[in-house]
Amino acid sequence: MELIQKQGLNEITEENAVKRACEGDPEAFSYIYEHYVSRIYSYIFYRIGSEADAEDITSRVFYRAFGHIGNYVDKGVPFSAWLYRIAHNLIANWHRDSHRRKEVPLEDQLELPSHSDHPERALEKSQEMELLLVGIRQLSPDRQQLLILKFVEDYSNAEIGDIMGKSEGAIKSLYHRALIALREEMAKIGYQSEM
Amino acid sequence: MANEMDEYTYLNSLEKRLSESLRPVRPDPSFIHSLKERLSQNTNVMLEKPASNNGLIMLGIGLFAGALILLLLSRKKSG
Repeated sequence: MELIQKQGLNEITEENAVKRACEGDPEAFSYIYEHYVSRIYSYIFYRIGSEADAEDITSRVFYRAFGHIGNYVDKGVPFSAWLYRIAHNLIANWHRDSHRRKEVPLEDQLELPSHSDHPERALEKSQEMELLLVGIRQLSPDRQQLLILKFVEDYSNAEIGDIMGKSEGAIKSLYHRALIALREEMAKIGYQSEM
Repeated sequence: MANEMDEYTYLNSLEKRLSESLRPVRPDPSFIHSLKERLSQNTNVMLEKPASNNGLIMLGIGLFAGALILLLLSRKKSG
């Protein structure tokens, strides 16, 4: 019984992982890494569209996070918000470094279309998605971040608010403006949505 | 009124397209593994840092003590 209790105390959970990582526990680092790496990579990939650069920036996010985890202050928002902010800043640096913009066709990287699609429909879908991504990348960084967190990562408005440091109301308003801006960008590139 | 409805319908349609098209992208498993290895090595180095700081402090104290002894000896000779 005592052994079970000890094991329970030693078990790393989402709640205690960050605190233990701050204290230098390597297992907690490992837990945090495995828990967040795919989501952070996916977010970065959608923002920049290059697999190699997404891997590079993902590495930097975790090196920076683990290098500065001692300075992390729990303000009641999810730890992921801190990681997304690091990613957001590194992506901004990457965009400033314009000569590194070497994009890989996105349709090669994404899981769409599904195998059940008819080939013609599948091609149509992948072209449509490429256009959607071209449109999204024309938006301001805040609007891009919001759309990716909402549709790729499937976060609620409240969770996005935590990540972006805004209220839920501000996120709703930003979301509406982002959709209108995206509609304008899509019109510029000749995208016609079925109504 | 009709324009507002059109906009509402269009935004709903765009929202539906985004929801259907955007899916998480998984990183290459070999990348996940190799980064984990590199991070664990880096974490070990970070954890060892305090020991090297102690060494520097001890070296500083030793140098200061040595300089103080030399100063006292030189004063004794001149006196």
